[in-house]
Amino acid sequence: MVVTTTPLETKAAAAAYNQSHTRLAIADMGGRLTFWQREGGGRGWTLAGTLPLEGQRVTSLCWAATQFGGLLAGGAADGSVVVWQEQPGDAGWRLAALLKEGSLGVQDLAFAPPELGPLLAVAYADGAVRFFEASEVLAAASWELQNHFRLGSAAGAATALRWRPSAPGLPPLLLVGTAAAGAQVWWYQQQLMRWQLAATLGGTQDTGGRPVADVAWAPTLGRPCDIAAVAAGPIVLLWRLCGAADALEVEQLARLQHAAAVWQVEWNMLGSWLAASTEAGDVCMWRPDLSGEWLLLNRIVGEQEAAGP
Amino acid sequence: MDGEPVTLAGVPAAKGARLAVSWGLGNELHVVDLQEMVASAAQTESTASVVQWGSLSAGQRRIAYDSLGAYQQLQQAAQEPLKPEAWAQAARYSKTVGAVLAADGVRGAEATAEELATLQERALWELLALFFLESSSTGGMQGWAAQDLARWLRGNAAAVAGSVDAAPLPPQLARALREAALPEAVPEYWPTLARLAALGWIEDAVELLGLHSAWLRYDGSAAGEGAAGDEAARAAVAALEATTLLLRRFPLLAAAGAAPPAVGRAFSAPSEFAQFRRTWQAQAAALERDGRLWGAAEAAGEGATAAGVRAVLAVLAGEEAALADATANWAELLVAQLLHIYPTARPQAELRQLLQRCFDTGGGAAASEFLQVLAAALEACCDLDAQAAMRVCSAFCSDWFMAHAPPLLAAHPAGASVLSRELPHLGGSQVEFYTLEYAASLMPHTPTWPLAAAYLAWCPAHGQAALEALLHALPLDAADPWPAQKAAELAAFHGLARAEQDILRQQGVLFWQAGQPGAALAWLARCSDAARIDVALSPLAKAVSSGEGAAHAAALEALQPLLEALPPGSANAALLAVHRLLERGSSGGGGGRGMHAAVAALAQLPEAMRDSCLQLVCGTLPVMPPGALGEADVLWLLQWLLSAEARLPRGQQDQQRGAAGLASSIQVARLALVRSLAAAHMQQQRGMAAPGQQPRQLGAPA
Repeated sequence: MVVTTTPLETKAAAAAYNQSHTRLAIADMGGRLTFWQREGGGRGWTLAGTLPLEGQRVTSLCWAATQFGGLLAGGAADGSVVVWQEQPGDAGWRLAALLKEGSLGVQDLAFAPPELGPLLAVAYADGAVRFFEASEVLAAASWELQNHFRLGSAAGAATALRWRPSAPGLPPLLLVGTAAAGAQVWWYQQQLMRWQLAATLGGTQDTGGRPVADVAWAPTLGRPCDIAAVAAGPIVLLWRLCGAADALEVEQLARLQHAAAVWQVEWNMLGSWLAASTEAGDVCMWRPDLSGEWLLLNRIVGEQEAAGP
Repeated sequence: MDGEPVTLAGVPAAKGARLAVSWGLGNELHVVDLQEMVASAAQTESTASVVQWGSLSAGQRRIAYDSLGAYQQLQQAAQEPLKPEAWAQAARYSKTVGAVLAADGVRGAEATAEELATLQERALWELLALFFLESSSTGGMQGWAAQDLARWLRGNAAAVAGSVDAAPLPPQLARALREAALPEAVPEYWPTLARLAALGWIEDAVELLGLHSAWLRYDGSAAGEGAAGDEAARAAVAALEATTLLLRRFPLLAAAGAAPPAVGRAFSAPSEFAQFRRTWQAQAAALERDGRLWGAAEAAGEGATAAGVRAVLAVLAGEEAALADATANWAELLVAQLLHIYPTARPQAELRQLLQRCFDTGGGAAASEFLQVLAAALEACCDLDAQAAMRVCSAFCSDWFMAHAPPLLAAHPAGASVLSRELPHLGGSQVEFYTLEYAASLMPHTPTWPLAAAYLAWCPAHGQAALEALLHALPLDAADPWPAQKAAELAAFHGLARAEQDILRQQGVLFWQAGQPGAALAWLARCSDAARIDVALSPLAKAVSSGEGAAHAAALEALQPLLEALPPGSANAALLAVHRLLERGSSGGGGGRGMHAAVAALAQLPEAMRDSCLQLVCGTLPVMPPGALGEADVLWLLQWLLSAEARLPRGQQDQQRGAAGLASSIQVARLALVRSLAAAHMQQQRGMAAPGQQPRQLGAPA
């Protein structure tokens, strides 16, 4: 076991890693955005740049795929979406776009799989999911609202979203968490150029009336069906999804109980481990045994003694 | 599995902070503590932690590298299970991997924790091979189990004992005994002798007996050194000699035609073996009970020798109490009982019961973790239960072991069917499950992620997707393109075209981001990414369009080979090509065809991009040599300049820029073209044709 820790010289409010975990962006509580870098296979981080947040309270961050250059998006509590772009050479970062479409806060945002181009999906507290697209694949001059859909009124806010990784023959799929109606799977119908609801994963009876805090698709690898994790309160529900996007069959696979509310779920790259971060400040790591039963095998805990002043 | 989760690591975090997590490659988790929900009084500086587990040590990396070839060879042979060729392949594999495990051994006087772990995995490896691989060739003949296990224990004594020092004959002890003037006075002498005899280490036991000082004293007394010395030595040697003779005739089973052993008496027929053994063991018992012999030794002052030799004889006679006293743990007791009491025990039927008895009486419950695991593994081997063997090993052994052991188990019919069964929730077999786990332990590290790729190639259900995921997530860097090159080669080798393209694209963008356009172009060209090539060339194209090409001449010159090799589709690349051709044509390079080629390239551009070449073209035309353009080219250019001028936004026609506005530049260029046309006509009339010129009748009106 090797643990390498780097002090970040700030109090982080939101964090995001790029796809290769060589860069880390931190939105801190002091109104700054800091960029950190790992180089040469090292485990420690070095500060690479700082930008002021211009008064926005950024609550979520996400990186675009490397093939779009240094591109970072942030969602703010006032409903604005900020896009920062890294300029080539030593020119550093600049504010590329400030997109204000909703008045209620941004709950989550995620860049689409790179095959779909520089496309950003944003979940809003007003129940809308909006899509913004860059004008170019690199160093885009502008971002435009490309599409949107709205969750049903019963669903409330869109609280979380995650794109399914691209696969040949499969339309774009989005897993969206809601405040009051579990999670929903939406698919993009190319011919009509609009998003359609494909399936609902549970409802208030499954989530206990709690809003969905986070959702995540498991990497499919060679499995014949998809698995999705939905976190609501102290429960993480695992769902199996099979079939075509317009005829999706859904089955609850497992119910993972935690001691505290789960606010984030993440799958490893092989889809064999699920990490669930709880409000109690620990990370629970789950894995199925050979018979398919999900077991809580490992934990990573936050240690206050090790934290600096 | 135990109920409580294992705490893998602790990371710094303020009270009330949330841990934001993100999975890296394989067994790697990134954690940042977020303080938004933390009361301000409790807030502290956030930290970013990287947690990695299952990392391979240097020794484990050596094993990983050295065993890959054997694994790949086995997979490539792809023999149908249970065929003779498959068995032979598995046997070769087993031997090779066993040798890999044994290669490092123990470097110092005592094994380090890592060395001991390797020794123990080797012990388990050889045990599995013995039952699942070798037994299927010997057919479980009576008598083999005892000697096979004795041979196995001999080769893995330190692992079973828990350390080199605790082994039956540690090198340090052997050296001390050989160098001692009175070896029999060393406290470990007699217990070691009994233990060696119990475990069937006959040659070592004979050697140790030969170290007894009585032999030398006996030789000295023959030269007449005193009556008392004579008596003691004579008495001791009598006992030693009788025991040595007995040991030299230790009964062994051997395959027919095998070379005779250095010590012991070999039999190929079990019935002869049994008959000889009965007689031999009776002789041992009789010798042990010979009161006259021992009385004489004790009376001569060789009481310790008498007791020691009698203990050895009791072992050879198969006395249970003597065997228990002579052995250090249940595994040694089992081997001792097999050799001296139950030499013909059958593995499946009798060995299991004997194992249980020896475990219970030999202190198995309080034994070390490894000995507990060994007991469970041996039980699974007795039952030829491959699933149980995998379960036992998975709780103790490394990911490497779990990925490599299945072929041993699959060599037996009992193992093949169990291990190849698909796990419905996984979509692959458990063999693949363990291989993926092993690959995950290799992924996070620069030296070993290519090994992970090698193993993923043999996972039929998940391997392709897992390999793609690995290649996509590799940490690429403009400062070091080796990982990208390696990843692209691997992707190409495995036919993952999309992954290869993505890697090339990513590396190209990283170079672009780092301000290295040449390197960016080289990588983007390999994936024919016209859109990104366009962006990478944008600064140069803008400079050239606005007439600043001269300032970038060196860069253009350096990029020339790359620019010429770029795939089609990039408008900026085409613009730079036009610029290059115009430059060459206007300097007279390329003969008369230079300008014609430039015009041809210009004609192929989309209108918007063509118009962006206006300044460039207008700057070149006035200075081109006379007759450089043919009539057709001139007419085309005139047409284009006219239409481009009409497309200029209002206001710009009167705008002053530099010496003249763009509109003025167009006017000048048109004038130059007309002059060029006139010159071309005059040349034609003089009988000199310029390229691109349409043939005209002499004397026809202009």
